Amino acid sequence: MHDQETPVSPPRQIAVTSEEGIVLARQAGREMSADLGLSETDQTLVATAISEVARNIILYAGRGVVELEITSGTKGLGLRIIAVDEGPGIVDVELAMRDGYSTGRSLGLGLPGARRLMDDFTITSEAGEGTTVTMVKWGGTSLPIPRTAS
Amino acid sequence: MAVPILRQGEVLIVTLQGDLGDAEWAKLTDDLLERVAERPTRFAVLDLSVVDVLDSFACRTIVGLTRMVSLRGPKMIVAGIRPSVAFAMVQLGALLPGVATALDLDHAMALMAHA
Amino acid sequence: MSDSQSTAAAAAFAAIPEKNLRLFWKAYEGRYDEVSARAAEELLALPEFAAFANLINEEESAARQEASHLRLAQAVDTGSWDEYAEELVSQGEMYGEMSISFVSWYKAISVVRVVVLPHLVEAYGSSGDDLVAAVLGMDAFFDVAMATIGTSYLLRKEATIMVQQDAIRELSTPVLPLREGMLILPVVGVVDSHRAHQLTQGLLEAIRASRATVAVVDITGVPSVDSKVANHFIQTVEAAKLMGTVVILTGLSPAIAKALVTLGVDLTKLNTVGDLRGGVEEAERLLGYQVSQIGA
Repeated sequence: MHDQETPVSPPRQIAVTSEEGIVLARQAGREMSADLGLSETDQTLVATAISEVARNIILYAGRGVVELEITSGTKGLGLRIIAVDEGPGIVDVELAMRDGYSTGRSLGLGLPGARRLMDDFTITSEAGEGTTVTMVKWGGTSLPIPRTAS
Repeated sequence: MAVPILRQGEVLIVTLQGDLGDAEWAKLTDDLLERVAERPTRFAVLDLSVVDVLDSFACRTIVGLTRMVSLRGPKMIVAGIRPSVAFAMVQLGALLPGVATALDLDHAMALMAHA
Repeated sequence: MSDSQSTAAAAAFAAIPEKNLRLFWKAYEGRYDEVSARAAEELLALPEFAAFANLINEEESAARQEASHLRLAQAVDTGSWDEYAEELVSQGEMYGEMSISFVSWYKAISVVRVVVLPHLVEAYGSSGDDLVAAVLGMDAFFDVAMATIGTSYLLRKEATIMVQQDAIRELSTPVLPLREGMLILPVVGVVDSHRAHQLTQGLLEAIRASRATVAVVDITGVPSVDSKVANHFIQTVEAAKLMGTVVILTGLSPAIAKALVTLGVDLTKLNTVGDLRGGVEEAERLLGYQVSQIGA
């Protein structure tokens, strides 16, 4: 058990400026989910969802930031992911979030997919103002101790 | 670091060592197509047993790779997708249409023996 | 819940005729420790309780008994029974949680009556009226006390059973490896999204562990299959397919299948066979032929 003085793992910010950032972001997501005590399946869901939104940033904005933080609420502990970019924004968010996979076409926007993988999911976007995606996976069972610098 | 591709007679075995970025998938595609052309190849097995995440891009790449390989003759088998990865893929809606799958390398070998 | 319980109990205690209660208590109080010791002995003699015997901390136990004694004395004195009633409710909850049988604890605590009675006779034997009053007081007191503990015990036991049932329901349904390469998963009960995910994950793990290439999922025991549930099963089939395993779905009645098709569910994605037996036969056939999935 952690005593009061032990600091919780601080939020991590990963700059996503190239496709390598996608890998870094999803690996960070896996690490933090594992630290939180999420199941193997949930860890994979988190990593996959992060990969989708991070890729979205690269495809449509060219650059952005993915922030990961431990959060707690009525559902217990969770991992919150905030993906922000200052790209052109999405003109019609509702249309973008509509499920396209049943038509068999590959998704340009991985957002509907990411939403299916996560517990909470919100997206705000305005044309010319960029996009912010916030998603949470609940079910954490342990407070992570900060990792030593690797 | 390039993904190792081993030849066993007419079978090529591609063993992914972990999470691949986009550029690495592109290199893998080039390398595999090259090795397929080198010598008569009947099968190519993509071993994903160490991979812990497959996003929609990876899935599209695998589907594309399978098509490209089969156009040149060999049949491709994707082996070793982990339970949690399979679950995530289905939730995501990123499936592998037209791609033969096997539980692991052993099962892939069994499939090939009976083909 | 316990609040209204203890309030009702407190009121019942307060309703006991004061004279009867005081006469009873006067005789009982003098022998309180002795009586409690006898009751404790009886409880510990129960095989169900024996397991907890090791966990009993002597000092804590003695302290609790002393506190209980004071509470009861105060209640009799002031006519205010809230605290004592609460204590009894807790006691009942404890027995309920420990899964001690009703008969067991009832008998154990009833011993107090048996032990106290001779003391009442000793104290009031010479006065017939007083003896009757004291015995009436004792009866009333124990009636309320036992009823309070009993009600609380039953409520807690019911709650515990419900929690257990929920837990059992949430467990993955058992996956049976029938023979090498084949798994059978009988699904029984309501399937909601949460359970469907658990079933899928459980099946995929079982496939990995048993290295099965065919799985028969029988949904005869699933009471209702709407399009949502059907889609969950389609997802299960697709996920297993990614692992190279064929899933045969059995127990989907033709009537339900028809209804699902009209709802737009693509049943061609499901390998459906009428009943479990037919499904197993189909699985055997597939295994026997070692169907090659190669060739898109």
